[in-house]
Amino acid sequence: MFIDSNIFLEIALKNANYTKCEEFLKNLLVKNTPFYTSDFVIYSCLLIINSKLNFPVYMKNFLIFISSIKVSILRPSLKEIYSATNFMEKYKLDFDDALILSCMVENKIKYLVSYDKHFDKVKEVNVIKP
Amino acid sequence: MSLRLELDLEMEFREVAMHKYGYSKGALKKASFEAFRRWINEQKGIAVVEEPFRLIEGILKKTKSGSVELQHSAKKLWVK
Repeated sequence: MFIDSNIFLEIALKNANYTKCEEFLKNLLVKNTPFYTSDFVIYSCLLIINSKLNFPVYMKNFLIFISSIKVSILRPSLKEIYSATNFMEKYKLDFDDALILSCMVENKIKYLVSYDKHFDKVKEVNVIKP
Repeated sequence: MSLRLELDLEMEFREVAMHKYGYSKGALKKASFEAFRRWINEQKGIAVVEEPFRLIEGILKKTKSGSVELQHSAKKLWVK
């Protein structure tokens, strides 16, 4: 199972679905279900947090959060980055979404946890919306 | 993986683990995971907290965007 940035951001925004996202992640933790994200997702969240709050302590807290929930962080290879460009062409995806997709396919991860509708047209993975 | 502890250390570990997680077989396993995770993170220089969600919950609540919209705004930040 791969966790997209918007799931972490939903909790940070305390938007309508934040309790569902929290419960979903807590449930993975309790059941010891392996789950993944990528370094690109982490960097994106950090850039957003820094741009909105401009205090490194919030970035540190986000990293402590990531460390504490025991999510495995995937680091895409050049092959996966290249493959992302193919998915950009195939599905007209942005690079960040295409990179998630190529990363998941390469690592044989079937489920993507995300609210991003751009993935609805993608056939390689199944999208879960908490 | 198996390891042997000095008797005093083992007894103390068992006592604290069972105090925290109850007198069940899983208590030692849970306490061991927690101890290993804490040690690994200490070596990495990253703290571990018991309630991590509180660290990020609502920190961006003043932002008037949806999570997906905000996620895609990161592209502009990469370019900066």
